[in-house]
Amino acid sequence: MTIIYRCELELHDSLYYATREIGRLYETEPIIHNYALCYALGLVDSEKYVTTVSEEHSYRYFCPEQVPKYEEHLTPLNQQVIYVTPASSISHTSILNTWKYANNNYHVEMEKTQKNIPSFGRTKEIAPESLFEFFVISQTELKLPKWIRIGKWMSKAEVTVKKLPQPKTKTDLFICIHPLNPLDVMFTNQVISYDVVNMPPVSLIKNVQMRGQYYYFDDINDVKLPVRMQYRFQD
Amino acid sequence: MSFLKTVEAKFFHSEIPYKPMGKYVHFLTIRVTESYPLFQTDSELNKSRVRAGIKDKITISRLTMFKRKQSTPERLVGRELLRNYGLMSAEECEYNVKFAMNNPDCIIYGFAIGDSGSEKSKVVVDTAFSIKSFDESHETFTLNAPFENGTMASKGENGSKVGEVTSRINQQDHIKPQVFFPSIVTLKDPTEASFLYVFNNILRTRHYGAQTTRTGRVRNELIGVIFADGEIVSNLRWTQAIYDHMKNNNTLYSPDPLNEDEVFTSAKASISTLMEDEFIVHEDFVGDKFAALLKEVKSITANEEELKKMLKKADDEAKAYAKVHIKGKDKDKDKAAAK
Repeated sequence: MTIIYRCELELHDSLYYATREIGRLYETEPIIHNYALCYALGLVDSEKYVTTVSEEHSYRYFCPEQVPKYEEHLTPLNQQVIYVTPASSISHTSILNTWKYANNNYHVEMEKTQKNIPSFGRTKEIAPESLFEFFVISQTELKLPKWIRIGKWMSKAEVTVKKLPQPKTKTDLFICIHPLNPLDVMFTNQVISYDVVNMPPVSLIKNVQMRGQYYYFDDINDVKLPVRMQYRFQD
Repeated sequence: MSFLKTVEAKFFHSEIPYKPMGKYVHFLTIRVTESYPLFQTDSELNKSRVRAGIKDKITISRLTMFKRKQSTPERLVGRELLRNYGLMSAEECEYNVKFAMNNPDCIIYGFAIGDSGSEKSKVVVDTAFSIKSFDESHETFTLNAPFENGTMASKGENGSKVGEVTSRINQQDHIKPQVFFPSIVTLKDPTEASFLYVFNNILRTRHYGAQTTRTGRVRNELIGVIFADGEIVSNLRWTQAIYDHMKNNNTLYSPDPLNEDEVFTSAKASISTLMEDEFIVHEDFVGDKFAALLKEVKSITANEEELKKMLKKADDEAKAYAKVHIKGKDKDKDKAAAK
């Protein structure tokens, strides 16, 4: 049995991650990657969701190197048939902030300067009270946390989960208005046209026209999601 | 060795775990300005437009205290103590320059060093919002830099022309005294010693914001501690609940500052109500229960021998953790040796 949760995420602090770096300006696109959401929701390496990973790749406080382990961390979610879609903004505002090297986590030793002025950069962040929406597709009932932390500043956000009625499936040509991770859909569906949202590590696509099997609801017109989405990496 | 009697041992780990284990302790603080602090970037005070309350849906501009502007002074206070009692030297560990990676500061508050790896912070602080709006919480000051005789006109100092009026004049917004910032400090996976270490840092920190201004005096009033198995309500939601509560009780005096006692009463009442909506396991120390804990903590942090014992315990735990789990440096050395 497939259960689809429609989740709303409200920011309670400003959200920042670098979608783009334009010189000293770091821009946050109002879209949250599905990999990031899996970590934020606590789905990775969790006993509760039966997604524990091997000791060698386990999620620890100390990271010896800055190398992501998406494949090792997300494959257990496929085994549990849990899938999270990227989140798009329902409503949002942006703010510009200036930061200094002096108190940045990604610390860079400052060059010796003659004057007592710090090096700086600017971040375009998403303001508190902005709203996002994403979907969680699962074969079993999930109890997701109410408060999560997201982005480079570990900003607090509130998650409101609504369980949708039992979805129906159909195979046809359809348009998915919600953002998708192309790697996770293109092997099972024929993707015809889409808009790209450039972001690392995998750019997302939205307004996707595709052919294949999809979930739909009788009373909810705006939700059509492809069936059989799962995390895929290079084979 | 255990320090506390008012808190059950089950809320603490016996050693610092290497991965998140789902124990959380939340310190409920109200940060009260006692002077004219500055929290700014871009030469403007930080502020944010958000809803006034949960019930009162109008939008207001609030002053904000960005997260790292709260945690940095607190960790610096802890570092100062570690150095004072000989548990850390200025040479081996300097904040944001060189992290020794094996002391309580590095392990509890985290670090990131390009090639030697990073330790995630176990202390998480969120942006705090003022209860009242920006317009009621700031003042604009005109600053000048007069000559020694107290006037702005030159008497010929430093080769200047006599009678010339200096242009050293500027305007700056300052946060008023008696502005309240409810802020929750979260510590993940505490041991008893790391709990006391962070607690002590919060209690002792008296200055926040631009350090050069000498006016950033802020007092931390702790109103409780909550042990839980997950995250609790946000600063923003708590602030909004306090705003609603105070508005209902007609204690939002405009344009006068808020009454401190009334703020604490509303803060306690609203956190209790908000915690009822949480669906996690939690044990709250608020009111009398917290008073007993606070008294016990203060008896440790105000007594030199006890404080030393606590810092030593925190240091031993950090060293033990670093030895087992932080191998980055040694590995590199081994690799280099192998080559």
